[in-house]
Amino acid sequence: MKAGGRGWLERSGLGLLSPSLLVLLAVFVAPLLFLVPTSLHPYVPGQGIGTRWTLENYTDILGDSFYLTIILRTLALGLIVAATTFVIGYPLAYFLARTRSRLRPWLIILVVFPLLLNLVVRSFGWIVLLANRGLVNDWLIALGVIEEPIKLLFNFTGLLIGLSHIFLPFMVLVLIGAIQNIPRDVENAALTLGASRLEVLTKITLPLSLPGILSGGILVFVLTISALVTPRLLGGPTYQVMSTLIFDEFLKVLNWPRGAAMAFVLTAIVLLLVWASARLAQRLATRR
Amino acid sequence: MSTLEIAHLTKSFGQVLAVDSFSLRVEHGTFVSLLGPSGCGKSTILRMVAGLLEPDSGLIRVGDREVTWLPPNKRKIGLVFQSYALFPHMSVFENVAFGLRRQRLDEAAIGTRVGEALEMVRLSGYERRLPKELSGGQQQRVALARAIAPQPSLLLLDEPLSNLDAKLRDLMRFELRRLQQELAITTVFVTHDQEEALTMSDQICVLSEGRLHQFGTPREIYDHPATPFVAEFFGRSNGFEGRIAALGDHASVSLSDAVALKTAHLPEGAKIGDAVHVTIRQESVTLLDPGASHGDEGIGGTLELVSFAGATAQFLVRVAGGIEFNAETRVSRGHALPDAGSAVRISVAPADVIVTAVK
Repeated sequence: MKAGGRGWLERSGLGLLSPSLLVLLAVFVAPLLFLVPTSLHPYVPGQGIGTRWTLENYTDILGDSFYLTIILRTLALGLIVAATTFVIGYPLAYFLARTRSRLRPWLIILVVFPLLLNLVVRSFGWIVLLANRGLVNDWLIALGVIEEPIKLLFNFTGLLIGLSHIFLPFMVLVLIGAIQNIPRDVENAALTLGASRLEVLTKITLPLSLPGILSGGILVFVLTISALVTPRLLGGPTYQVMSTLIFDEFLKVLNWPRGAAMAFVLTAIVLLLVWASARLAQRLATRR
Repeated sequence: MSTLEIAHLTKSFGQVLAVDSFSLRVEHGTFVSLLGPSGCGKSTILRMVAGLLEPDSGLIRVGDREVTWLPPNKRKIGLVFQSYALFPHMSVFENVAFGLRRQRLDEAAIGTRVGEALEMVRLSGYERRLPKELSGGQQQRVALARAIAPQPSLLLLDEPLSNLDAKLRDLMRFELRRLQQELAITTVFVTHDQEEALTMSDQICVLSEGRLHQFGTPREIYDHPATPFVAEFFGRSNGFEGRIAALGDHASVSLSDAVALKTAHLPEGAKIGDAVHVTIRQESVTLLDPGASHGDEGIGGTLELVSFAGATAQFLVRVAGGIEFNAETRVSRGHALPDAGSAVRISVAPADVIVTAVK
């Protein structure tokens, strides 16, 4: 065996990683780094990007309650959408992971199927359903549950419903993998030892699928707080989240420095959360 | 007293009949093996007894309690899985305590009982380890301790030794048996390994294709197999179709017009001319010393194949009518083996000619 550089390249797997690494560096990391100086210049109305160096874009964002409200709203939306897809997705994923039905592959395709439809179409579908004169309100009124239409669109509820629906397949797919990794006999062993079905779920299945729940949760969280199309359509022009705000700063207000600064604040939050949850997952995996 | 009684248990998967009207009675405190090749239905039976599978019909009774339709968590049956199925996120202590916690015992009692169970499987001091920090043999013991800690009325073992290496398997065999006798717990052991079944069991139940072939002590089953399948399941053997040629003290079976063998035992109610199955274990076939004169003793034939396998050697002998005998003999150090192609004579003691009725 030859020692030296080649051996290291093969061992580290860098050879296999390099194509995707190069693409990421060229089209993702590099443009992002170009934005760093932009975010550190002031915006001069009528002229564009100033030449002075300043931190005021960041201090403006973190000191202004308007921006802080939107940051908190975005994070809350991410957390609640992740939680909602988990609560709805876990029973479904459990069924799909455990069923012996011959229809199983088709059922899984059915879960993925919404992803094949255009995002704009899916979001418009929810507008039809959730509008004041939409299907949901009409039915609730017809059934006598409510008298006046309830506001389901252009607010938190609308975004929550739409985003949970759109990101549910991601959660389900991650959970199916996690649950399939739990041997059926481990659950059976708990049953023969006298555990009820609920105890098997809370003491065996859920703890053992925790790594999957965590990665599914991170995935949906990150997708939610960076989603643009659905919040724009279901939130309307006034109900903003971080991504729609960044979009507006760049393309409507043309305030690139502030847009860039907000993008970095969002990125920093995401990186922090991903790092923290990776630490948590590692600790769970090597517990005691 | 906890006996296990199974009556007319039947289970099919789609078109396949996995267990066909199986009945068995296991007395209190005995160790019974369900023995058969893979796919014979033995694990299916065990899972139905544990409640992890529902039978199509039949009855299962533990002691005087019918459990046929009870869910597994109401049966108080200990089950050791082939894969051990330990809880990977719990320490050894919590694994063993799991069943005790379900019985709502207080913490002190749980501590005592876990300690006792671990001591019984010789794993005291491993309480705080995680399953993945243990060797295969140790994991197996934890699985055993976990199953016996809640003091079940019945212990089921599903091929618990098959994932261990050969040395450890021999050791665990005796450990398991010792433990079972110490606890005097009624035990059903599923295995495809004839040696395991023979060495460990009070009684063996031989199964094939979902049907019971024979139930008896290891000695009965080995010496007096009831069906051709049981006869050939143990050891390496020669199987022949034959007919009964003589009854009484000179009982014999003919394998062809030219070859007949004396036998010490005929199936009950046998008549001359009945078609039978003849089984001769390979170690029962003796190659007569070519140097000595034997007259008419034994059967003459040609040695077709010789293969040396260390302590033993295998021979293939073709006798009159093209009938072939496989023989296995011990090899003495420095003793020359006969050459292939030479003329030899073989003999089989009448007691070793096993005759079973063909249905």
